[in-house]
Amino acid sequence: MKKIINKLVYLRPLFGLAGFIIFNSYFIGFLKGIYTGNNKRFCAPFINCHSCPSATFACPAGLIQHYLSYHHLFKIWLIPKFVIGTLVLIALIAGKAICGWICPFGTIQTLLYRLKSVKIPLSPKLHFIKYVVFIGLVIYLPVLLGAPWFCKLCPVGSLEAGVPLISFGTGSVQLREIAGNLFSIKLAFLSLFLLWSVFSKRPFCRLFCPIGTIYSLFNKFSLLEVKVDDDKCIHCGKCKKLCPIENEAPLAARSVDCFLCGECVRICPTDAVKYGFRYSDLIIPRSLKPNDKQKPNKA
Amino acid sequence: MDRIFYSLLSVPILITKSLVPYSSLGAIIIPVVGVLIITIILSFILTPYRKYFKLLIFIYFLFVSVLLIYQGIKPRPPEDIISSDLRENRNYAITICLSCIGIE
Repeated sequence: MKKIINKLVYLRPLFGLAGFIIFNSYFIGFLKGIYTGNNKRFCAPFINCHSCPSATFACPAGLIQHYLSYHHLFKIWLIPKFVIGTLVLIALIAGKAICGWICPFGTIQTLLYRLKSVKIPLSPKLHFIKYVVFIGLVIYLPVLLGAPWFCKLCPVGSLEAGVPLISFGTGSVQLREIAGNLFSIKLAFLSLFLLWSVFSKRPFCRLFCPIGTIYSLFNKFSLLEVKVDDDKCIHCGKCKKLCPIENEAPLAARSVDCFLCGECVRICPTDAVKYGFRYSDLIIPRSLKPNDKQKPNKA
Repeated sequence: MDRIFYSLLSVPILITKSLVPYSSLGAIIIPVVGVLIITIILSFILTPYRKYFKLLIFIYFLFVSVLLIYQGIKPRPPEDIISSDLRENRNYAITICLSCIGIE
């Protein structure tokens, strides 16, 4: 089992690629225009711009902002019940494993970090920025000004929709004519995050992603978790080198920001870190577990 | 199903109704946040039982998420400005978002 998990963790970028292909499989859209089928009633579990010609599902961040930007006399703003329900359900089951395993933009950042360069650690103290971004750009400004402000700066939108639609495809000539300063700003943001990813681990995910922020809120209650046996941990620091949030497994696994990527599970020399289900101890009493070895009496 | 949904949230609604006029905001977000805050406070007071409170939060949000999905699938009343979440999602996602591309 351990070997299978290790192999799966090693091949994690392929899961990111699979995530991209599953949620962006309408490749003919680059010639015919964006997908307009019924799948767009549902949202992808990560930021995936639905203006991308090949996108087959809606973007959850875009939908949340769209609902919040509705203004009505009595209803101050509308709640995207389906989107929030879906995200909360996913978060309760898998926590931030979606970010760690199948998010395509996260995978791009992970791969960029593998390039040889000077590495600059990001302090965990900066993680509060994502809550500011979430409240400010995804909730407050759309409610106040009635426009999707996070989308205006979103680098994923630039990568998946802006650049392809303006470079080639149907209507690219007209779009090129009306593209102005905002496109340049978005392109600058995209370049900044891609370049930053070479030097720091997943800066967009850790500091800006609103969907990751929603998952973070439920990371301590999610069914899937990374379990650390403190008695077995020898604090060798190997997991810290691979951890996307740059912490040792005993601290990272108990953090709301843990991506559940499994790198610490793979690298741990003493098998102190394992994947597990959070409430299994409560549902199946420890004494009834077949593999549990009884501890010898001290006396 | 509606009754279950609102009865599940009724206690925090009663607490907050006097403060916040009834709206989709008052009906969902404030009770959910209220229950979360109360549960967190209780979990800190009753530290030995923290894992049980985590399970309680998990079950509570599992119910809330399933019911939110149900509410999203269900058609909204005719007087509402959107007919259903799913239709609204599609209507929005099939148009090219100019903000996403970078056009003002």
